[in-house]
Amino acid sequence: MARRDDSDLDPVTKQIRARQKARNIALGLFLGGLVVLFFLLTIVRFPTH
Amino acid sequence: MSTGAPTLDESMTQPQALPADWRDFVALTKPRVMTLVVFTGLCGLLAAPGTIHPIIGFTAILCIALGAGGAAAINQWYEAGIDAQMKRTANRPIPAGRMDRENARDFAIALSGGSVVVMGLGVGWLAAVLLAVSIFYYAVVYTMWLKPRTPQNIVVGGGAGAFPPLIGWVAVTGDVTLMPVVLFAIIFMWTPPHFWALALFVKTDYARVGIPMMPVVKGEASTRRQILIYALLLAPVALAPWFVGGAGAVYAVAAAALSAAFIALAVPVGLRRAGEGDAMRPEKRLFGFSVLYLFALFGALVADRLLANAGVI
Repeated sequence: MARRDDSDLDPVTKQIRARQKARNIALGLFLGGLVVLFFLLTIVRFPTH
Repeated sequence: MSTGAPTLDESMTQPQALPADWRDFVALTKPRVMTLVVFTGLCGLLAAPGTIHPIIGFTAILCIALGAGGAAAINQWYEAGIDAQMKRTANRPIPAGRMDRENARDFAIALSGGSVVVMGLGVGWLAAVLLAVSIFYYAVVYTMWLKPRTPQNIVVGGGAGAFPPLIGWVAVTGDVTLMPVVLFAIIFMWTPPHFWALALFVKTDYARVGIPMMPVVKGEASTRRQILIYALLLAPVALAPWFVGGAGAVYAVAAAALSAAFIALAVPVGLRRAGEGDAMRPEKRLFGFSVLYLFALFGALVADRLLANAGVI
């Protein structure tokens, strides 16, 4: 799919998009970190041997 | 439906033109306060007898941090109307209009609930229950109930900040014994002189919004006297870990020296009378040192434990 071009957007919309993007990245990193933590906790708390 | 929270200017409850920045969500958790919470929680965890797997230990500290952040966010959601009228807090995300109130509330509930559940599943349910109690204590007992009603708010409410070392300790041992209760008592006794030193130099803000802080209700002289009394009472409590055999000589020497310095700074605050336009230097000095005091005291506790474990002392 072609990447959307934001160059013709007004400054406020651009700023809104930038903030949404930054929030999505922050939330994604946080949730990704939780997934890794749960994985490690599972290994530590419920060892296979 | 009414939330019962203090009223807020209508413009602050409207959706904002710009969505809140991720930094505003971080600011909602009061990261500077969280630093002390995380540090004391980590010290409780490191000073506890026994071992804990690093992953579980990390999870415990993360949950303490997230729980503290959730409680702080509930506080900011509830007090947004008051914060807007105080110079010190007017630039927080909600009163400054960078975040709508419902977003803050949902974020706070997610952090608080999530931290308790993860603590329970990943670390232990006693630690999770203590974390839940500490969140409830700060967000409801202190913020909603005590703070707007009594000048003793910070005395009783100080218990909320005293939970982290107890939770850190319980994460390792799985039970509550005398030593973690002593750590709780240290922060409990430390909170009034720490917070009242701050309240003395921002009392006009508290008076304006009707929060019955000690200097506003009982006056400066009474507050100063009580700061000195609590500073004197804090010293034996700070030495209690040594008395009960939970810490050694390194901690005892550090606690004695730090407490002596704390009293030395509290004496001029307790005995003086500030005039109109006073720069409040002794009060600011005491407030600054009180933060250092707690960091250093708990740091000494961990150093003492690590040196003992290494066989150095």
